[in-house]
Amino acid sequence: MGVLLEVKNLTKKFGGLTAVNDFSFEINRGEFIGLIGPNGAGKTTIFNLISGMEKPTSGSIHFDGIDISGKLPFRIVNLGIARTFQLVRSFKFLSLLDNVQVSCLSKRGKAASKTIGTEAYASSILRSVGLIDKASVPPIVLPHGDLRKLQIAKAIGSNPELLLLDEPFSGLSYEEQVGITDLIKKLHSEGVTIFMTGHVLRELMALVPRVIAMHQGKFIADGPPSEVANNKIVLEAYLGKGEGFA
Amino acid sequence: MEVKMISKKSIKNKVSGTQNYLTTWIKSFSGSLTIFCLIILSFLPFFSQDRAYVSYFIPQFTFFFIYAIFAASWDIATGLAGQANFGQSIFFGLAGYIGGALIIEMGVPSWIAIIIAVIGATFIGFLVGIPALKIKGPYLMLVTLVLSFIILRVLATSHSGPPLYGYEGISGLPKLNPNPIIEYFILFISLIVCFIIMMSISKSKLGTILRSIRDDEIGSEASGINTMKYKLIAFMLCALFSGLAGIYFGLHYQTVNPAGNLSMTISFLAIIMAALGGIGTIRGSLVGAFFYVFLEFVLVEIGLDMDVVHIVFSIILLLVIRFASRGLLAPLLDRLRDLWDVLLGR
Ligand SMILES: Nc1ncnc2c1ncn2[C@@H]1O[C@H](COP(=O)(O)OP(=O)(O)OP(=O)(O)O)[C@@H](O)[C@H]1O
Ligand SMILES: [Mg+2]
Repeated sequence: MGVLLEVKNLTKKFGGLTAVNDFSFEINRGEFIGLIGPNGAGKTTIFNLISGMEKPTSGSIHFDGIDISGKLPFRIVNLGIARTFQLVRSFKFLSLLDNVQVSCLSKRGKAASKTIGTEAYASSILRSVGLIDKASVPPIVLPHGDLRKLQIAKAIGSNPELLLLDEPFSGLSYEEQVGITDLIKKLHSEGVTIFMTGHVLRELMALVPRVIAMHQGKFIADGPPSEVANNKIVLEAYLGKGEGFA
Repeated sequence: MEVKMISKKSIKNKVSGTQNYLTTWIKSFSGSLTIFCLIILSFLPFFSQDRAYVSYFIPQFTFFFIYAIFAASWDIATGLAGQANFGQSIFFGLAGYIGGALIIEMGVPSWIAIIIAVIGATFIGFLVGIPALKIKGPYLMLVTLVLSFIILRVLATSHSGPPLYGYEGISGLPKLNPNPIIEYFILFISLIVCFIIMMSISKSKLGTILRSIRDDEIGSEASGINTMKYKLIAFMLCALFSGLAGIYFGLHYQTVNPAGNLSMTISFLAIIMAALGGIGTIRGSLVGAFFYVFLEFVLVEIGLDMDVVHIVFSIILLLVIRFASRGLLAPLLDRLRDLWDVLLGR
């Protein structure tokens, strides 16, 4: 199907700290990939670099053959990469419908919703994530699980080809995790390429056929979860921090 | 052919949709209240032939119309789009200067001068919006405030006469209309038109985008919105309407000068009125401006000095922010609506 995202020798320094260190990988169209690593490994920074929220110190990022390193975030969204954030964020005085409609009003979202209009398009997204009953309320009244769903709903309003999910399970109960998992699986089956980080490794490892592992900004492993989970460096990285897969 | 048919049909749908919307709106509470106020305001100038009434009381409403447009324009950039702007007097004042200079120096008819002044103000809004692309929150507040201060200083310390007119500014401007009642109606209609436009903006998808920038700029950008473009649009719209208010204000007083049209007090007036009415509501500015003009009228009538009046308003503003952060309009409407429902036995 071809390479969708190509990250080459990506480096990001914050002063003396190298958050991402000479990192390279490729993602093919239609893949479903996890990005793991202990706290502070640099996962969020990689997402920030891909989505244009941070500028790389060096290295390049190509999406669908286009060099996107250093482009403005909204342009990257309109090329087809949407993201969610590790800490939920929403437009707190807008209804859920409008929260989702904003991304439908992006250039790419508008093109996708041309036939039915952005409002109907946003409603259909809310329906597909199971929030349609709450379309007119502001996000403040939502429980955390629904807020996580809203994050995904907001991201898919721009009709992304590649969806970056930063810790989509964080802070969720088991039942809520199942709901989000089903949602992500559904999106993937509809053809969206998924790249996600996760702290709850068991869930993530059970979900994705391929994971990339990193530690202290550096690439350490790439492969099927069973392989990566038994990789010596990966185990050390986690065990060294007192965390494990069990 | 087919395309034409479809577009005709969709226009027809839209028109009948608007009609439906209008009828339900008129039957709704805020609709009937608005119609009631419009009727009162339409007949107000004819209640009395008394000279004091026509030439002193009626012009108070002229101020109300001008201030309401002005306060609502501030609400577009700050209340809707969240761009802390304390330099509102820039657009208000410079529009007056542009229009005034055109009339005095080139003998341009007033209505053309008004149009050019508004276009000029919109362009100035674009320029002032540029710093807002990089600067946020309190820093933007400071930048806009200092900018208005610099412009005031430059104009006030310049030589009299063109191009900057010095401390005395421009005087001898013609009235919008020598008849206060006609002036009243010109401004009344301007207010209605401006509010229909501003309320439609607020309710439109553009309004949704501006609010998304206010609530979470990074989130808006991550939703694929060109936030820079929309921040500039917010500033330009804000400047457009406040420019219109500014040139009307200048023509009403028949003079434009640094102290009267460009001072920081002018910016604070817009903020006080918008905040009194309820920030981010646009229509709250109507209530805020009304409240301001009439309390000021009363306070001046009982013999208070203008400085004291401003202190009174600052205190009222603090109280409103502390105890009624939604402003006065929303709670007021809630109360009246309850009363309305009781009266109708609902
Ligand atoms: N804006 C920034 N300025 C300075 N340092 C930063 C910045 N953003 C991230 N860092 C640092 O870069 C390193 C990587 O952080 P990052 O958030 O990418 O890790 P992560 O893998 O997402 O961690 P977590 O699992 O906690 O989410 C950390 O040491 C962090 O403190
Ligand atoms: Mg992170």
